[in-house]
Amino acid sequence: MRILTIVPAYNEEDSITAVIDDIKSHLPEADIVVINDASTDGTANAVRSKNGVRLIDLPINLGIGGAVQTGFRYALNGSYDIAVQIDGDGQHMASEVKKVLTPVIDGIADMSIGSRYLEKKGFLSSPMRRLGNFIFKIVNSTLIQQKITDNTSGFRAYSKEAIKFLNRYYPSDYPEPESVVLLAKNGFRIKEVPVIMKERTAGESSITPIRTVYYMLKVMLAIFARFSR
Amino acid sequence: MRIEFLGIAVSLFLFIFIFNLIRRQKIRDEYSLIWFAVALFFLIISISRPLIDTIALFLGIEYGPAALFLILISVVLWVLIRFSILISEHENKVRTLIQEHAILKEKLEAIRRNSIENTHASNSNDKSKIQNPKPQIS
Repeated sequence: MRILTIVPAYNEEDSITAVIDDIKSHLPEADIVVINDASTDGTANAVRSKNGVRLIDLPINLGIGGAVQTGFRYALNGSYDIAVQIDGDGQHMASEVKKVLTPVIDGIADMSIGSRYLEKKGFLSSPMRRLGNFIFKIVNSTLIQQKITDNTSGFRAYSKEAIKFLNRYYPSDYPEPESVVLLAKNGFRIKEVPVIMKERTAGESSITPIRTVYYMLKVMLAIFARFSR
Repeated sequence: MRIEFLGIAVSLFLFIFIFNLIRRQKIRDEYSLIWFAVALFFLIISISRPLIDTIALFLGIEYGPAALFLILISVVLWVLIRFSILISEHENKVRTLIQEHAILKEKLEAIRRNSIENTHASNSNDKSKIQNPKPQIS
C-alpha cells in the first residue's frame, strides 16, 4: 500500500525541516511531498536541503485548499492508495499519524480525521477557536447525522476514492469544515480518531481575529451550499 | 422626449464601440455577445415609446422612462452576475493550471537530478561532463 504524506507549507522556514524529520522517523515507508504555497521566506530552500523529500513549488499562492489539492493531484498522478495531510507548521505530530491512517488502511473510512476533542489532551486551541469549533460540531454533526468533534482539524488521511473525488473539487480557503459535509453528502465514510496536537511552533495562523467573522460566515454558507446539493 | 434621444444615442454608441472592439479583436465573442444583446435591448426600448409605455403600464409605473431605467439596471445586473460566473470559471481553470504546472516542474526537476547522478556515475573520469551536467539548450 503506497502512502503519500502531503505537507502544505506557507512561510514555515523555521519549522518545516523539523516536521520532515519527524515524519521520516515515524512513517519511513511513506513518500513525502511538500507543497510550498508561494512562500516569501526560505521554505523552499529549507525543503531542498533535505534528502528524499519532493518539493512542489507553487508559482502563485493558492491558499491552504489549493495547496492540499495540489497534493491530491500529485497522489492521483503517482497512483498512491492513501494520502495523509500533515501541516508544515509543526502542530501535527508525526507520532500520531499511524492512528489517523489506521481507519483508511483498514478500509473502514474514506476520510479519517485526527481530533483534538475526542480525548481532550494536548493543545486544544484558544477559547475563541474552540467556540468556532463548537459551532461547527453542532452544525456539521446535525447535517450529516454523525458526530464530528473536530471539523477544523487538517490532520487527515484519505482513501484513493476520496482523493479522486477531491481532485475535482476542493474548497480554496478554509476547506476543512466544508469538506466534511461535502464528502458525507457524497457517500464517503468519515471516521474520527483521538490525537494530541501541539501549539504551532513557528509562523502565524492563516486565521486572524479580524477575519474570524468573515471566516465563519463564508464557511457556514459553503457548508449549507454543499448540504443542499 | 429627450431621454429617448439620449437612449438612442447611447445605444448606437455602444453598438459601434462593441463592434469596433470585436473588429480589433480586443474582446472575445462570449463577452461581446452579452454586450451586443444589451445594446440591442437599449436600442429597441429607446426607439419604441409605445413599447416602453406598455411595459410601464404593466409594471404599474406612471412615468415611462422610469421603467426604462428599471429595465436597464436589471439588465446590467444580469450582465454583472454573468461576469462573476465567468471570473469564477477562469479562477478554477487558472488554479488547475498552476497546480499542473507546479507538478510538472517537480517531475522535470526529478528527471534532471537523475540524469546528473547518472552522468556522475557513468562518467566519473570525464571532468568536462561533471562540470557541466545540465543538458545544453541552444
